[in-house]
Amino acid sequence: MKIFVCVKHVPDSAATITVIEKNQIDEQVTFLLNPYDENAISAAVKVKKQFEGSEIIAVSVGKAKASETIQSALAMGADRAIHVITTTNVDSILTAKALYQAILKDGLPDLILMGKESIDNEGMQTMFRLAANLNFPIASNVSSLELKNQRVLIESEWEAGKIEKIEIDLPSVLAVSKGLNKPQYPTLPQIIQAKKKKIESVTIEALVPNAPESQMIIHELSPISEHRKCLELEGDIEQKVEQLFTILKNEAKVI
Amino acid sequence: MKKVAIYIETEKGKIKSGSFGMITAIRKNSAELYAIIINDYSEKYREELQVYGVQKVLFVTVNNGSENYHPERWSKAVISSLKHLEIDTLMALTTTKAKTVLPMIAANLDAPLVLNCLQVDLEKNRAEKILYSGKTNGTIQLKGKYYIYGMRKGNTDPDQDSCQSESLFFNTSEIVNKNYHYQGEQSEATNAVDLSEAEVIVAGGRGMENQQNFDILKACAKKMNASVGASRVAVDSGWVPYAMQIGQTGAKVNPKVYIACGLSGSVQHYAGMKTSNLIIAINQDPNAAIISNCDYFIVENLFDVIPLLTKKLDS
Repeated sequence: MKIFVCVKHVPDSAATITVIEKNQIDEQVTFLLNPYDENAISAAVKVKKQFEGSEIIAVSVGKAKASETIQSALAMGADRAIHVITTTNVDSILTAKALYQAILKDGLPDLILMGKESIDNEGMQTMFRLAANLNFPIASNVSSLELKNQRVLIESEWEAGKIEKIEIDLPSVLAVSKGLNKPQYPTLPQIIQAKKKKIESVTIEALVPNAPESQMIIHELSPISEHRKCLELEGDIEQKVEQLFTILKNEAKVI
Repeated sequence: MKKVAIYIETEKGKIKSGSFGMITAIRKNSAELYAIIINDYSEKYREELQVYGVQKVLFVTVNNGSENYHPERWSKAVISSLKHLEIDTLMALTTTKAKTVLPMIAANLDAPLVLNCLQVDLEKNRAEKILYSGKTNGTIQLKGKYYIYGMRKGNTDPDQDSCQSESLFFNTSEIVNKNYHYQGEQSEATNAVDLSEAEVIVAGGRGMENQQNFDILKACAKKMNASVGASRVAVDSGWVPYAMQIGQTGAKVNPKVYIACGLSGSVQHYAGMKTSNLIIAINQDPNAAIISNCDYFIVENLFDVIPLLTKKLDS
């Protein structure tokens, strides 16, 4: 089985984000492998165990620095990687086209796995665009998957605890959620071994020479300031609860 | 005047809550509003929508109307409707179903899409949304032949602006990928109220100590039609299922009131709930991070406070 895992290099969610030049962020902060993509790699490793002789290829569209994330993906179990190098941050339309071309060039897979969203842009759409380009069926928010012959039995879990059941024939695109598995973090030998694995680099211009007609451009960014009043409810416990009740009733008007 | 199509979800004979607030938000742009409803015809919907300024309601029948919901067929039916109406701008509420339907539409049309929009400017084709883990507000410029926006629920309170409306009808037949077999939806009774739709959320963190204690929160939540959420610690400890997790890698919620119980309030947790109107913290530790970033706080043991509140709500 040939499996692609699409990974993204994103700022750590704990990083302090500073806006520069109106529509960019200062990228001198910690970046890491997008958390949901970790689940995708772990899922790929599991499929590889089930189907001996499978190959896992990590593919990432990102700046030169994204090689760090590619190393993480290799350490977590990808066999080799493709880095589509960009000099700017690209939107999901262009990203999906670049992923599509990179995958086509390498040879069509049986399965493409990725996280259900990236924690920086939260666009939640690259997987759908990639699937449409390939004319593959797609399921997102996958919280459980089982491979049987050429069919994947999928459960897709949503916020309300509602579960959608979908069956998809391979080849397909699956975008996974946190609930799918607990990612296996690499051991030191795996990290060292990953450095010997092959990374093929290609520029995005070589794969997608012309800018797509449709675009989503970050026009402006502004930091969100938080001003909360931090008022302590005081008195004995009965009085505190009484005040809480009054806030819910009169201020928030929810009861 | 610009024409805008609004995809309206219905469930069990009702228009999805949040839809009227969304329409109110869209109305700030002067446009002629068309609603699209698939395989669920009722003049009652048109009457309800006209109160909020929707002039035309297109009742779409796809594949003879027998099906309840199929993500791909629905997305294709919306595309056919847009072409039929000759409308290039589509709006919808960013519901769980829309998180599949809208990207499928956008991918199919190769059109730009922004989900969880706070505001849209239909003149300039710009949308505002939160980026970078809740830390920045981004304005995104859309370019293309179509513009697709998923509005975030709960941003705007519904406000009436009645008009005269008319029902339109459209029949279409859509073929779906033969390798995709949609089996439908089943409900897990983890939460009585959908986290993404709740006006009030009571959430528990490390201080909950175990699975059983969440029943204390559930009992309280029930009294005010609230939903119960949890921090990552509570989920990773196995006390509650992942579907209840709020935060960077869980649900992103936007309730009127967020009551955080025994929850420290990490940066990652805030990424999922910081847009709550009112954050109330109940924590015995006055140094917990959440105490310095909330509206009201009570320094007490949650196991003393919550049962008292439940009792108070009961009376």
